Order: sequence, then structure tokens, then C-alpha cells
Amino acid sequence: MPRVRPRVDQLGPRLHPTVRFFWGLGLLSCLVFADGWEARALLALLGVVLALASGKRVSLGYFGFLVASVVAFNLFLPVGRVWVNLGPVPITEGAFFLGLGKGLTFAGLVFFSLASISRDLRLPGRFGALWGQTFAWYEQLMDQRHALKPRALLLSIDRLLERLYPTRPGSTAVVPGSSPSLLPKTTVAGWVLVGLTLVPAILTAVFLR
Amino acid sequence: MRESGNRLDLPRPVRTDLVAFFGALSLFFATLEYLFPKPIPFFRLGLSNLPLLVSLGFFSFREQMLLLLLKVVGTGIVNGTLASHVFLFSSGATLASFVVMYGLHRLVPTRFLSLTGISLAGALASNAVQIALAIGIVYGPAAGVVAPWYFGLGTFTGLAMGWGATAFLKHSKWLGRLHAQG
Amino acid sequence: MKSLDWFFLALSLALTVGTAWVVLAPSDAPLRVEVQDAGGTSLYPLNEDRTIEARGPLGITTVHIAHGGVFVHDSPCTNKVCIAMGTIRSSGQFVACLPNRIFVRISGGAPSPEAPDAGVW
Repeated sequence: MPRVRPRVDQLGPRLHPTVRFFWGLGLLSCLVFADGWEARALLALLGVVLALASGKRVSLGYFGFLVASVVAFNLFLPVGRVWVNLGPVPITEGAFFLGLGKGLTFAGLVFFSLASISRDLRLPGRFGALWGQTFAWYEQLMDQRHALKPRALLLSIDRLLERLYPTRPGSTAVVPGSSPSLLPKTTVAGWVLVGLTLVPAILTAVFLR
Repeated sequence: MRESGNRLDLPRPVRTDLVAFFGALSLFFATLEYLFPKPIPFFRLGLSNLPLLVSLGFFSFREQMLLLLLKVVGTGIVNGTLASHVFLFSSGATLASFVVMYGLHRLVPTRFLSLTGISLAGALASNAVQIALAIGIVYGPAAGVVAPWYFGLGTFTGLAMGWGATAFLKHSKWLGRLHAQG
Repeated sequence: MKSLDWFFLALSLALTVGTAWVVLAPSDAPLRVEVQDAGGTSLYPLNEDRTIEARGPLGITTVHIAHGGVFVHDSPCTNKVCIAMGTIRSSGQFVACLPNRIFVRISGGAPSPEAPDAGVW
């Protein structure tokens, strides 16, 4: 069986999670305010590249289906020049490109989100501290997910819960603190990446209409 | 009014830790749910709502809201979809589901309504919001064709989650010991 | 299961069947505007205001869709009969600019009783 290469986050070591988050918001805004399917296609393509670079799994089949389904539903509201009649349904140019633009926007939103949301993202205040604790528990649960047995699901869930949050008399739950891991600083390469992606994205959104 | 005799009487820091733990459980189930193939786009099985359902009886409204927020924001961060329309779908559906489930839990006595009914009602609310968002934002009016599928599949998942939560509450030794502490 | 459990189960099933009924029931297609010009046929929903420029051998005929009706606003023909035909609102009604070979018709929905059964050009 071929070994699956683990996906590596190329962006993580170069971008602080908060910078990464706001960079993503900037790219998202360009996508949302872009006009025309061509601009959205270019931005969605940028999004795919960045999502892959961040080590995320991107199923092109799934996103292709998403875009195709948005186009298909839009074709039921015909607008513009009729290309061809498929039975009772006229396939129109306007509806097609409107659907294409919409589908590419939604796919692009997910791509940019995948690229810009890091698990190291710190949330502010007391909620942020609670989130840190939650995420630490979550990582422990994920580490032990193989302990779940479908044939004895309830029992295995119970055992897992007891292991992570003991309730037996005499035991106390060890609450994980949010790990004070060193967050990466944004490197020069990171800032160059931000500039090289944001500026063309803004230009595409503004001028490609 | 639903009886609240089984509220956990634990110190607040411990209760807050428990909220975080249930939040983690929600994320854990949401991750498992992400791995299941979806029969129709945007449809959610509702596994991640199980901790919300189970804890209806022993968390206060504030703690439930915290749990809801942890679930919604946390899922967005863990799955990387926080800054996309998927977050909008997820948070809208979860909020609608919670409002209905919590309201029913507080207002209707247990002799008339069990967790199964609450789960079914929550699934209805969640699916109604998702259909509205799918029609209003993503697919347009033609997407109304998915409504029967959403409601049909939602009936099964609502029943399954309700039975699962009831079975867990009844048979979980871990939960029993937690109640004994409180 | 308790009494209200059955109620919500019944409600869920009723919504499933009800929405399936609505989706599958035959219904009149929404009203739309068909514009035929030199480039072919174009379709637009009648309930969305817009301005259409239809190109013919004499030039551009401007068609407006507004407030649930459609009319010719401007045309390069000599007599402007198409403009005088006014606003049409019902399925089957039409406006035409013969010199510029532009034909505008409302289709879909239930046919209007005033509309002719057929037309030949």
C-alpha cells in the first residue's frame, strides 16, 4: 500500500496565527466584492493554492460538485441569451455565469478560510482561555479516538470519558491548561507572501470587471 | 415546567471545566461527522449536538450558551471553515436547534416529552434554517427541491440522536458518577 | 415514546410529505419575457426590473421590464409602432418592431384570455 505523505503546513511557521487570520479576511473580502466570474475564478484558484500550501486536504471533486450544483440550480431561473433548450429547461448564458460566479465564490470562501484559520488561533478574553482548555481536551480525545469500538460503543465512550475526566471516588480530573506553545512570529517571507497575495487579489477584485 | 432536580451542584470552576470538556466532546463528534459522506450538500448528521442534548438537564442557560459558542466557533477553527459560509450554516442551524431544544426542555414536563421528542424538534428547526439559508444564499428558489430530503433524513437522525442520548443518560456509569459528585 | 414525542415525529413526517407534495405538484412556470433579436432568443424574469438592448438590422431597440410589465422604450424604426403598443403584462401578449426584427413576448404562467391562440410572422 503506498505510503501517504503527511500534509505539511507551509504557512504556519511563517505567519503568526492572528496575522494569518486577518490576511485571510482581506482575501475573503476581495472575493466577496469581486464582480464577474472571471475575477472570482482567479481568486478561487489562488485560494486552492493557499489551502494546499497550508497543508489542508482539498477535495477538488467535492468542490467541483459544489460549483456544478450551484450552477445547475441557477439554470432553473433563466436569464439572458438562450444557448440551448434541454427539454423544457432553457440553458441561458446569464444564469450559467451567475451560477458559476456564485459557486466559485462559495468554494473560494472555503479555500481562503482553510488557508487562514490556524488551530493555534488565540481568541481573546476569558472565552479565549476556555477555548484553549476545550481545544486541549479535544486534542486528547482525538489522540484516543481509536479506543472507540463500534460494537461496544456506549461502553467504549464511557471508558474514554473516564480516562480523560475521571469521576471515580478518589480521583480528580486533571484539567489541561491551554498549552503555552510558542506562537510563530511572522517572518519576512510571511510578510512577502501576504503582500504578494493581497495586492493582486485587491487589483483583481477592483479592476477585473 | 421541567423538573431540574438533577442539576449538578458543583463549584463554579468545576462546572466551567465541565463545559470545556463537553465543548471538546462536541468538537470531537463534529470531526467524526465531517468524515461521514453526506447524502446531500450541507446536510449534517447532528452528532455534534449530542453533548448539548445530554447536558440539557444539568447545565444552566449560561453554561449551555457557552457550550454552544464553543461548539460553533470551535468547529469553525478546527475544520478551518470559520471564515466561510459553512460557519454561517453551522451557527444558524445550531442556534435554531438549541433555542427549540432548550425552550422545550424548560417549558414542557417530562411526562409529556422525552429527549427523543426534543431531539426531533431540534432537528426540524436546524433543517428548516439550513433549507432557508440554502435557498436564500447559495442555491436560490430552485433549491426548494431538497426540502423533502432534508426533513426526511432529519427525521431519522433526530430519532437516532434522541435514542442515543437517552441510552447514554440511562446507561453511562461516568455520567452517573458525575451526578453523584454534584 | 411519550405523547409529544409522537407529535414531533408526526410533524417531521408531515413536513417531509408536504414539501415533497409541493415540489412534485405541477405548477405554472413563472412569467418571463422572451426577446428575439438578431442574436437569437433571450429570457428574463418578468418580476425583475431591467433594461434590455435588442440588436436588429436598424440598430438597438431598448426594451424595459418594470413593475411587472414590459414595453419598448426606444427603437430606430420610423413609425415607432412598437412604442405605441404600450406595456404588456400577461402571458401570451407580445410587442414587436417589424422593421428592426425585434419580437418581445411574455410566456409562462396561465395564458391570458385576450391573447391570440397563435401568431404567424
